[in-house]
Amino acid sequence: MRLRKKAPVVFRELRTVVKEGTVVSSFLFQLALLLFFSLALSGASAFMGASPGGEFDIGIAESAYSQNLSGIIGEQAQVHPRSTLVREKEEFDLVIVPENFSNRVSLQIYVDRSSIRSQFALQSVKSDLTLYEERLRKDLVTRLGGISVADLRESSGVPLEKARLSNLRWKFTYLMLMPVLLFLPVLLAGNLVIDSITGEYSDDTMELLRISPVSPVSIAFQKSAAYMVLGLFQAGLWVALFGFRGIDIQNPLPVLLTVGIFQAGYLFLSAAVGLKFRTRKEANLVYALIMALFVSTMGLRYNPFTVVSSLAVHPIGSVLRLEELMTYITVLTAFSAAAGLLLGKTARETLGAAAPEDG
Amino acid sequence: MKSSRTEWLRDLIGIAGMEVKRSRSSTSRELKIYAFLLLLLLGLSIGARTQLGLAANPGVYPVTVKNPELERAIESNERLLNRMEWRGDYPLVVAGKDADVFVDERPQARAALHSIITAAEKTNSDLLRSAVRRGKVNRSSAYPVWVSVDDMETLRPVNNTTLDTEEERSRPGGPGGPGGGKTLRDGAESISLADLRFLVQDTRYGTSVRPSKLSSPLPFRAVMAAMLIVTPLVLLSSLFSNSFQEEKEDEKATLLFILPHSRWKIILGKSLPYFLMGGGAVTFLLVLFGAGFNPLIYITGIAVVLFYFSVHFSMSMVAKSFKDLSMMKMVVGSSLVSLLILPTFFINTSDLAFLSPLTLIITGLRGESPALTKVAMGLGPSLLLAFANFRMFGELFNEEDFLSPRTIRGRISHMFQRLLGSRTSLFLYGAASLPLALLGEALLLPLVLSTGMWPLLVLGGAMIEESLKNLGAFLNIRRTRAEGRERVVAGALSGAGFGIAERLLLFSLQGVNGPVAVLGSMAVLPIAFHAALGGLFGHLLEGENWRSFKRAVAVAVLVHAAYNFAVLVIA
Repeated sequence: MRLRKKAPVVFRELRTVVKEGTVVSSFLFQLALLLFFSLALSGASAFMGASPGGEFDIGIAESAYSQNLSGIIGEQAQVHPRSTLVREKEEFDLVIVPENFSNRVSLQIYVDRSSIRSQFALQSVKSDLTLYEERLRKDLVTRLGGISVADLRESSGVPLEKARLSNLRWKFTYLMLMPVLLFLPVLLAGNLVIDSITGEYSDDTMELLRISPVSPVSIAFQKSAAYMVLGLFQAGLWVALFGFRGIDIQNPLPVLLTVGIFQAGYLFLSAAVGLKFRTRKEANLVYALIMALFVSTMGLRYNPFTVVSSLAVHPIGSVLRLEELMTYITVLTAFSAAAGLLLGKTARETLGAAAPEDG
Repeated sequence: MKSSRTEWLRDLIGIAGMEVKRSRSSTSRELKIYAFLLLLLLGLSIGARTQLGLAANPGVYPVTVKNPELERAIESNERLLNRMEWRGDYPLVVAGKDADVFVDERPQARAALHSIITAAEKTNSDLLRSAVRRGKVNRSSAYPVWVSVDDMETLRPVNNTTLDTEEERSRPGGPGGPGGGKTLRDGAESISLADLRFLVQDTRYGTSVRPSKLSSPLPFRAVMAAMLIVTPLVLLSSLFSNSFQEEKEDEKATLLFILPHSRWKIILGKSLPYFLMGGGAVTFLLVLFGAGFNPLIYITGIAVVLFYFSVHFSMSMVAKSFKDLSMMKMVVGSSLVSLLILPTFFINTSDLAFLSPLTLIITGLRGESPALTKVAMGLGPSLLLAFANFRMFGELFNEEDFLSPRTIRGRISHMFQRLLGSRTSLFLYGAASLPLALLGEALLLPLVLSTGMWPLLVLGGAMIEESLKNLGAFLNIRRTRAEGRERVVAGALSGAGFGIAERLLLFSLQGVNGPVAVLGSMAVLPIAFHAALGGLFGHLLEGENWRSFKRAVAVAVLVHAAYNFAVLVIA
């Protein structure tokens, strides 16, 4: 109750957001994005997860080199006269015509473009041939100071396709999905705070707020705080959902702290843009550019996305050293403080002064 | 005749000029300065990234490696971090001169193993390329295995291909060809502007390549290219829909309606500057990708622009406020991007990819000539939907509807009631609702795949299809005050439209092969089923309120789901 009296604008904003169904729309949007990514992963897993072992019907055209090729590909390959392969091509997932095995190996592979099974078979043959190529040039590569990739693969005992699939899944979950879902509520909250402020101007309700006992600076900060609560709630929900799905996050609280500090600065900046430009069109345009700028920081060595990924994957002190993390948190806090100062200044200039006639 | 055309064109340009002037005058000088500075910063940031490469997630794979050659390879990959002093704590350990590898069971360890192998392959590849260039190593020893992939259809009794020629070697992907050293390799960490045109290239059909260069069935590069093509449209279409919303909020739209022009001319005139900007941006990107003089690529690019803008136009027509519009842009916009990009995932594996016009662009950029049916499949729906969107939602561009305080649902309902007066329109509505139903079902699929709950697809699919196609019949019944048999006919017409569109799509995907009797029953039975369900809906509809609609739809959904389930069981 006391909090409600102290921060009336926060509660007013949250009430409006819930009443207008903004929270539901925001979740819907994130769900749509999650579904999009999930389909991408499902598709990728299905393709990459195809078992390469002996389950395809591969036809090899009879020639002087067919036995050499049969030895590389293994039991799943059967040698037939070319005419038989042409006549019964529907029976095969893949047909290989060995054309040369003397000074270099040349193969012609025929795939059924409309069959996913045929594509799987091609991936299986690709692995076998890659390994064969590596064996053929092993001596040459080591003489040049390179590494025998064939030895590396065989010694690991992990089939090439399985390693590739693991890498795909792991990268997708920790380096893409997790940061995107944790920062998406921040971006949405920035949009909502701008909508809220410019809406006050267009509905002529900003004047009512201005003459209320709440100070201009407090109005601006309370509006930001309301969306901060909303953004953090959603980010927290995603962290909980990841845990529920069995995706381990090493440092959930530092992850949320990083998102929270960044979000504070980002929302202060968004609110300042809303106050400065007043109309939705202008504020949204500037906001779109700020958002693009934020996304473009992904190229920096330490950016919010990579730090969150690191915190989710490694215990603090291992890859991301404690001093590096502290430096990063300090930089983020400085960004938020600067954005806060900017918001305070903009609020005093715009809300503290007499309202312009055009509102 | 000629002078009236010139006059029409002059009017159009006049309205477009007014839009440009309005947009410029409503943009403050301060905004222009801020926008310029932010764009400059953005350009610098992207420029720096292009030059320096993506440095994302440095050291995300900590490993312990004690092998001098491999250590050097690892240094070249920023994602790998060699922490020799903490051996055992890290998921992957490679020890000794012979590179004996120990990998534990954690998924991160296998992920790291793949990254190490990629780094080693890159080091080897660089060494070999340099040795071949300096003449130290024979080309055949460096690249001992060559593979060429072709379509099974081209398999002939007599061999007529010769692989080991200079021409083959100079093809994209070959050591001397443009893709040989410059293509964006799997696992590569950076993208430069020079790589742009290779994003869409594929080292597959008819091309002689090394086995490791055979592309994966998942076309990462093609998907990336598709995303790049859509990117400028996101911002431009947002400005486009804002321009209509501003007219609404500033209440200046009344001035538009007193102009002595038809609504379609005003809509076209207002849209023209945005179409030109969108078309220009997409054309520029296509030229960068190396589209050359292939007209199909540019025509498809324009179709994508029109489709994208038509969806934003429809949103601006139904939004009551800027807040409504922002929310719709987020939800509909993300679905729209999914609709355009998702099919491109199947570009190497299924003709389903042609459901997106972007697939036509990518295949065109790869130098392939898709069959006429595929061109129709890629271009047809997007152009038809673009036309339908402008035609349907343009109905709301009149003084009464445009400035009315109705909610989104009220506006859409009002629009359909205006449009769905005739039986033909009802039939067309049924056919036009198919893409929306497919989109809904596509979004449902991952949920089903991840949970394994197949009944969800059976019930969800039925719910999406029945709600959409019967909505048209319901609005028609409300407008025409139809009773009894007329209601059944309205429902059946919408259902038949949907069924026919569904069959046409299926036949264009699968081709028309088989005995006439089987084909006939495959075509007629499902259409009759959809029409019958629509008729059932009309029969069950008691009143003209939404509660009656929900009740009648619920029964149709249950019957439809039971049918779907039976088909699945039999299959």
